[in-house]
Amino acid sequence: MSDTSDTYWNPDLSAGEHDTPEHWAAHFDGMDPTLSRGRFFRVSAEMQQRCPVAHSDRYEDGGFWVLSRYRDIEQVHKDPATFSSYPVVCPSFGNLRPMIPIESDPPLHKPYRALLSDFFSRRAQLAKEPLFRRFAVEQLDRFVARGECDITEELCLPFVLRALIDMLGVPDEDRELMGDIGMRLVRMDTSRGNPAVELYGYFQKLVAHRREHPGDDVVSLITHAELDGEPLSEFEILDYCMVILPAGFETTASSMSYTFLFLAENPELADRLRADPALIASAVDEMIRYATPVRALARTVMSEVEVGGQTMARGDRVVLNWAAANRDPAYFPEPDTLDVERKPNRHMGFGMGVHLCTGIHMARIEIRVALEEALKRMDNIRLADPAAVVERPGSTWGLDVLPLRFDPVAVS
Amino acid sequence: MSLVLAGLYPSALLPLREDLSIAERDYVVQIQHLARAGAGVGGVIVNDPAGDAAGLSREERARVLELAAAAAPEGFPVIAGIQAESVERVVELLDDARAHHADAALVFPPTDPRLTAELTSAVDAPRRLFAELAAATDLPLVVAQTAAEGGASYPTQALVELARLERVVAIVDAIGDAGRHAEQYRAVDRAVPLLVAVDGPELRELLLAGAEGAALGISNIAPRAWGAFVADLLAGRRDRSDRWYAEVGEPLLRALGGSRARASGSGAAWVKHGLVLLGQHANSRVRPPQPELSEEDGAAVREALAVAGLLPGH
Repeated sequence: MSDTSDTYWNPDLSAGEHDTPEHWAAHFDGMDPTLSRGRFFRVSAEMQQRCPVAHSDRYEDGGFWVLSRYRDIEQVHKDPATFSSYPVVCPSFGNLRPMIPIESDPPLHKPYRALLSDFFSRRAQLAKEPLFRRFAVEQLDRFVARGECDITEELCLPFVLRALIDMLGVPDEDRELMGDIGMRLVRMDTSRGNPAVELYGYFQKLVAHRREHPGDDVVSLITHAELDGEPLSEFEILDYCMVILPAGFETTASSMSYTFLFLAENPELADRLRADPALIASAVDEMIRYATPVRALARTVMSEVEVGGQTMARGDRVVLNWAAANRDPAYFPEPDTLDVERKPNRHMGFGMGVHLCTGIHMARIEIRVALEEALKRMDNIRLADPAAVVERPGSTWGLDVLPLRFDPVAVS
Repeated sequence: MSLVLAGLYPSALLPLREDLSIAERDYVVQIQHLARAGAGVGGVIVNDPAGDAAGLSREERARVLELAAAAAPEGFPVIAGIQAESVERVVELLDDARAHHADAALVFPPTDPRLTAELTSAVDAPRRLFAELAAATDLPLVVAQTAAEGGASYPTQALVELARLERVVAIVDAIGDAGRHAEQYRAVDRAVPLLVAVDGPELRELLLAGAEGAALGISNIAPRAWGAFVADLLAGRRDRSDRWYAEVGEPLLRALGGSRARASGSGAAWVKHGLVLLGQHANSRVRPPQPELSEEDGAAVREALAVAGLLPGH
């Protein structure tokens, strides 16, 4: 199918001569840029039909399994003892120590995760909703009057980053620095040095500061936490801190930017949500299912196991195609329809099982609040130019550039 | 007794806190790291008296086993290293290993010099020792054949006798001499698997002289690659194994095997320091009587990792 559409999201668009089910079954690569514009979902549906347990020869020595059926991926999620979460992406980030808690396995995972469970509880995050709303409004007020924006650059990234910086307890004087590191990290910009290394160095200083000056923030909580009556080691504290910014930033900002893409390409949906804001909460989850920004995470087999009729050996790598699972017709009737009232909607956009995203409530609230406030202020939202959209493949897919036009609405 | 040993068995290092107590969570992470390293890694040796378990109390050894057994997945055997001064103490440690869910015991010769003398000179003495141990435990037993300078090495004919014992499932050979190793391999004649345990540049030659696997402390560094190397070499996939050995394995072994660290017995500190440089371990502390790494040896570790291409930025 040729690109005659004026929409960006266009799953049936051909990605060239290699875009065949046979090619993807043998060489699946969840970070292949040709899978942009929603083609990831068409390819995943074909794999789900033809080879639900495929084996790709990409990246790692010996390749990796690719699971596409909801039930097979659910089996993996429910058995963390057999399927190690480290390394959590394929190809690996190269970190030799597991990131805590996302790459921790039993028996350590549960106590690690429990350290922040109160902080990230729904109740605790709902209490922060007014703060998140203020951050969102402040960002919107900077550009709404123009009637156009790059919503990723001007709302999604700065809003989510600001909420994270606040949560981490970064002192006022360091917020600009942290914002710079965070933005370079998400854009993989190494032109001024490695932002991950800078982040590690910054957290070393922040942890030392919070040892002496604890606050009501995540870094203070981790720094002073104890497990089995003993404090966390420096490694544990830093490994925990290091995961929070990337995990909470890119994922939420990407989810948010995709929701704006879908609103821009489905004006009737935007009108409907504007008319009935009570639907926004369920719409957020449905749009996350539909876009699944975290398309696929990985596991390592710890003991021989059978999945979907295939025997996997210890050490084998397995990629869980969440995007495919989220369109599995056995679990989602009319899976390619964006149904904001879908119930049930047990999607894997935030993962599943013991590794369900720790920040799920925070992310949901941030995206809902951003949509609520944006829909009040932006009418007739549309893509400025589909060709100007820049989509970034990765373990988390996102829209680096999403130029929108809209009719500004004054809000008293 | 269904335990069949083949492939690579790293001797797990013991992460220590500042007060030299065991850093338990780090240890769990390390066992899991080894278990993830693929089918080439057949299991793990814990409480290796030839490693850095020498200074542990009986309670600490039991705790180490408990942690390892809890962290190890199904099908990834935990082999308890056991060495004591007397047969009675060895039996006590076997009881501990059984109680804390070890899958097998790697039994070193008792350290009492009188016993050592008997075990190394009388062909029948090792068989009597292991028969006594076999009667005292239902754990599969692995015979540690140590280098002569390390205390006791059994006569070759004694190994043949040991391999015939029902409870003995493997021999771990740290002799280090290719001729003697080949002689032992031929004599045992695959009655039980024979694993090479030499962290030195002669490793490849020893493996080719006859072995079903290896038990290596150095394989805590890049265990997946070491597991693949051993598997490839023993399966005759020489192109791949020889290339990796020349580029990575041998430089590491040459530095470790030829360094003062090795000579002074601080091999565990050497490997730990390597893991520190790779960002995987917090420190390279070892318990006395294991010596700390000298500054000179620390530099040698860095150089070896750089030559092997394992250090970022080199």
